Amino acid sequence: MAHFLLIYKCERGSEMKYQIVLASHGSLAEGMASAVKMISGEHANLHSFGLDTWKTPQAIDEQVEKIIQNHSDERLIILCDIKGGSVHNKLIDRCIKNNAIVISGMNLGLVLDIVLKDDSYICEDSLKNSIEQAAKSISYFDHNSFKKEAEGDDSLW
Amino acid sequence: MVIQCRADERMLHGQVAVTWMNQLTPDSILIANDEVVNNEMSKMALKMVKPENVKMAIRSVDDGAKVLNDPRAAKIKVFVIVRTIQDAVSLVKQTNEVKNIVIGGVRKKEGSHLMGAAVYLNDADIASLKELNFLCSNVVFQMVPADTPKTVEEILKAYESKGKGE
Repeated sequence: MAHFLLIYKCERGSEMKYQIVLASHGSLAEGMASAVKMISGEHANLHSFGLDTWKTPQAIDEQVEKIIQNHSDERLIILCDIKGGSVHNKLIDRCIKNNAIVISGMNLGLVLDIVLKDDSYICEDSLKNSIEQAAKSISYFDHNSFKKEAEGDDSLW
Repeated sequence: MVIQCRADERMLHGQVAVTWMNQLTPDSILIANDEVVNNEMSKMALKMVKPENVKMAIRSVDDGAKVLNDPRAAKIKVFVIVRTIQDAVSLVKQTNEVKNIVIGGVRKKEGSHLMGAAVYLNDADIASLKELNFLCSNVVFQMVPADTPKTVEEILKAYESKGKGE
């Protein structure tokens, strides 16, 4: 992981509640939601839709429409598995239609970081920072690099 | 200065650790644990999850107290992590630098009751908790910064009523 996030406290007035949608090929979205649940428990504002269950991007989009209807006063954050994939291509329209935020390349660290945010920490800067940190959390280790990292300093100063 | 001492069974682990790092933004992390200090693999794993721009020292509980008593520790923000309530007691007996303790996960064991998310306490833990609360004025239970902390009094009361219920 080896990453370190800064907290962005957003301007007052942006303290909007939000719904989070995970959308993917296969069952990645549901699996991601299951991993999130294991680590941080139930989140009522987290929804997941994979193509294994919903068959078409259109069907997932219809589910997103229902969420928007049910939470019309809330902001929507959509996380897709891959940029330019069929699900992402379909849901990206929600940026225009509903002022949704659409993020691609979701990983567990990123989703957790977002679901664990206070409503008041949700804003463009804080989400972009989360994305940056999530990207940094992708790491490569082999025998040599692991030993090198592990043999680092052992001191408070 | 010690900005927080955290007692968590999993010590520096995953997203829970990350959220605390975000909240506390320490200069250094002190892991005070007698088992880890002698286990090279565990030490490696801890160093691997350490944020890049933060220093880390892994020490036994006794040596950890000595490090905190070093005058240099007063000049930096130190996040101290121990594994158990008992280790927290041992630490605060050996240093006056720890002013607040946050208890996260406590391992399930013989005779323990579930007192909150991943918090299993038995009679021995309760005795240690009372001692800790006596030694340190600010002890709470809290898994992640977004959770509302529970006071020791709340936990003790809940534990008592659990005992009666069975």
